Amino acid sequence: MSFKDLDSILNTQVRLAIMSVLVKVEKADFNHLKEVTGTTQGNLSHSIKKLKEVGYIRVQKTFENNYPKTYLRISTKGKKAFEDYVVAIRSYLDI
Amino acid sequence: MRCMTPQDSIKDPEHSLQIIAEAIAGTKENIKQNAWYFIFWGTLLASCCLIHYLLYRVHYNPMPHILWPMGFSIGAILTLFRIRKNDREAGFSSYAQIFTKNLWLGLGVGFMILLVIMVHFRQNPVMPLLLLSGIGTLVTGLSIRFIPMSLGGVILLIGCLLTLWIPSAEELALGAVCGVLGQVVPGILLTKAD
Repeated sequence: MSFKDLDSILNTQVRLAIMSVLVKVEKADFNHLKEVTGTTQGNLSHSIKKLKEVGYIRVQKTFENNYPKTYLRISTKGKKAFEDYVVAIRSYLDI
Repeated sequence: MRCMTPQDSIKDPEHSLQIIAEAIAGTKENIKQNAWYFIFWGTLLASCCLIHYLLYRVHYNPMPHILWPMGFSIGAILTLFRIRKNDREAGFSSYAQIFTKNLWLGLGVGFMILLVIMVHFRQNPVMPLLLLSGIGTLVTGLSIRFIPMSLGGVILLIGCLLTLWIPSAEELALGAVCGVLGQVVPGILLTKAD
């Protein structure tokens, strides 16, 4: 397997950054992910949509003080995919 | 950090590791947020103990035990507001935060039940309060790996044990000292921690 054959969903910068945050916390909100990934709102929404489609994350839309708020959580499938991805890159780096 | 786009693919494994490390570093838990709770509850504990002690000393004793449920109910409401504010600002909830929150929720409910029992029997609640807050402070200190907080928990637990050998009124003075040394001081040190 070459490096390019890794999980194509995770092998992009924004999506990997989102999953790296979500694997560490119980939930994170949209603004925090925007800050950590340093990407635009549109790019982040696009990546979230993709991760949600494949079932790696769960999205919860709610209201706080009359403002919309989006929370994201990693799913069991997403956690497994992330672990497999990390194991794969570790084997490439031989660590 | 350069603005990432959804199409940006990852070039090599080192690049993957770098992205993971940067994302995790950006989600570092701010343990200083815990300081407010300890300073606030330590001060509340010391204040209730001192007021009760002074009322006892001046023999003005209409219903001194009612001071405790009143003080702790106000404390619980203010704490809930503070938790909401912190959650909004943080943008994420870590597993450690959830554990700590649930731990104190359980101890808080336990203490409220004990408080009702102690007030009913017109006993001051210093001993169970020191025990429960000692457990909570020690476990919180160990989870956030902040030694002064863990030592604060130990001070509260030792204080609880000392109540066995001192008169009831002096327990109140001891409670005030333990509140300051066991919670206020570690809370202040936490605000200054790196």
